[in-house]
Amino acid sequence: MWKYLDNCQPPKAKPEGTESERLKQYDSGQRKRSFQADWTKSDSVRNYLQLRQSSSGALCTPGQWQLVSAVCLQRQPIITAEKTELEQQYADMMAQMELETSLLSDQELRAIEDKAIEAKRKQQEENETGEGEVEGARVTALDLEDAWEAEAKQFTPAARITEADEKNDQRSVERRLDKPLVLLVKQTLGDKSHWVFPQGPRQEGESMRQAAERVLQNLCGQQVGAQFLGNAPCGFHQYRFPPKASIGTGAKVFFYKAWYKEGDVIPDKENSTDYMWVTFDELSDHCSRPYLKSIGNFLVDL
Amino acid sequence: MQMIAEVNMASRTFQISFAGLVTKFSRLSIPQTSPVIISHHCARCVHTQSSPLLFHATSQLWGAPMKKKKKVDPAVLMQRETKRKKKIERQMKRLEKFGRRLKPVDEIDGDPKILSQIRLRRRPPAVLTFEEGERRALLQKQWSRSKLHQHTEEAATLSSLLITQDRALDELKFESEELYNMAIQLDEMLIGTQMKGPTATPPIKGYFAKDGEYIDTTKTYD
Repeated sequence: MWKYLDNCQPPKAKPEGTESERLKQYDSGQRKRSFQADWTKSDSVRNYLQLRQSSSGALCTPGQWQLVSAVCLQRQPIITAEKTELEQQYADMMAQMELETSLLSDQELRAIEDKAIEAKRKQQEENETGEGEVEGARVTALDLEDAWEAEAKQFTPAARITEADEKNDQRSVERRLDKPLVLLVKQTLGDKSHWVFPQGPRQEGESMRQAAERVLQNLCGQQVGAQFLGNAPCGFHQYRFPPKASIGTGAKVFFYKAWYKEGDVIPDKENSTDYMWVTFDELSDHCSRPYLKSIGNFLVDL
Repeated sequence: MQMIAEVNMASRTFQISFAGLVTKFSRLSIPQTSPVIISHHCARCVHTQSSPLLFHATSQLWGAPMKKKKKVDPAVLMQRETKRKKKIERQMKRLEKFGRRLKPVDEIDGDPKILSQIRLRRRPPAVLTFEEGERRALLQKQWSRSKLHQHTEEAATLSSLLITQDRALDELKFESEELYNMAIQLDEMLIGTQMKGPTATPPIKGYFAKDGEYIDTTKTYD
């Protein structure tokens, strides 16, 4: 082929080794693009792998730790979040640009026609033709806008900041409608009471998810409606029992995420004494640090 | 232009052509007693009788004479109406049948009403100052930077979520193989759940939404 192309040199033969080496990368699937970060090298993963090697395996045997299910019941946001300053500026700019590149709407055409008619009428008045234009039944663009505004005023939407916000009632679900709320319950674990997600030990013949559903119903009442998001747990926490109590080594808590649908939380006096709905920022005021560390991984508020 | 005048004399009718003269006299319905001044080529038109010449000019009759209107049978009329109605109904049915089939996107020509008015609807082009142009460009860059940051945050959050879940599943597997197998089952109940996103304002409690078209007949007393 190279013979037929004028002013063109055939490519120089590359040394054999480099070509085959390059192709090998594709074959073995090792080739990575520069932007594909190796996620296994990140800090959190390294910690996890170390922990994995250290905690389970040689140190403890299966069955040594009590298996506990906990429910992370979340009330998802009901209203949209407020725009940040940058978002507001960008939205305004986009609206302006869209207006500039758009065609005139019917309402704007109407307004232009009104102006033309008004100008004509004034001219006729000046000329005093004496024909006496009838103040016609023309509905102007401004009239229409006034009528629409009046109609819109008849409807008042509900307020974004509710009563519960003003009273700062932490037991209410109506608080902070723009943020997700999570249910915390005051449970006595051992001799102390802690603010935790409702948790309870798994019983015989149950899967972890079934245990979680039962725990929620027992601790918060039958009327609480929740949508569990799958059979797999979303998080894990481990803690040791005090050695004096001689109940066992400790407990492994598996968290299950659920979305709150309806119903008031009525804490069962036996296990849970009190409850509250808090945002993710307020969690640090009530929960202990190690617990918070385990929880923080799966609480997402983007 | 030829004007055809019908002249009635005692017993004979003549068709005489005048050269535009008759138009001047056409308004006169009063009989002329004096002799009519006529052009030289109509010498034979001079009347010598005492009875007047009553002539008038008809308007130009270029068209054919009108047809006689036949009386139509009312039954036939009804039949025609019903035929028309049926035709329209058939067309409607056909449209309904084919209306649901969407046109391929390549064939869509846009709204014909607006296309016909497009000259009216052109907006005068916006004049941007240099400062405004600069501000817009800088804001675009700022926005793209913040969006990239947001995206990396989201990607990191997602990977963190997966890692946490994987760890929980690993621990469960270590504890009990059976429980682990139950945990990794697909939850059939989740397929088909519907979730509604957040709105600008919260829903009003006990609000009754009027559905459908209605005419408000409440009497307002000003």
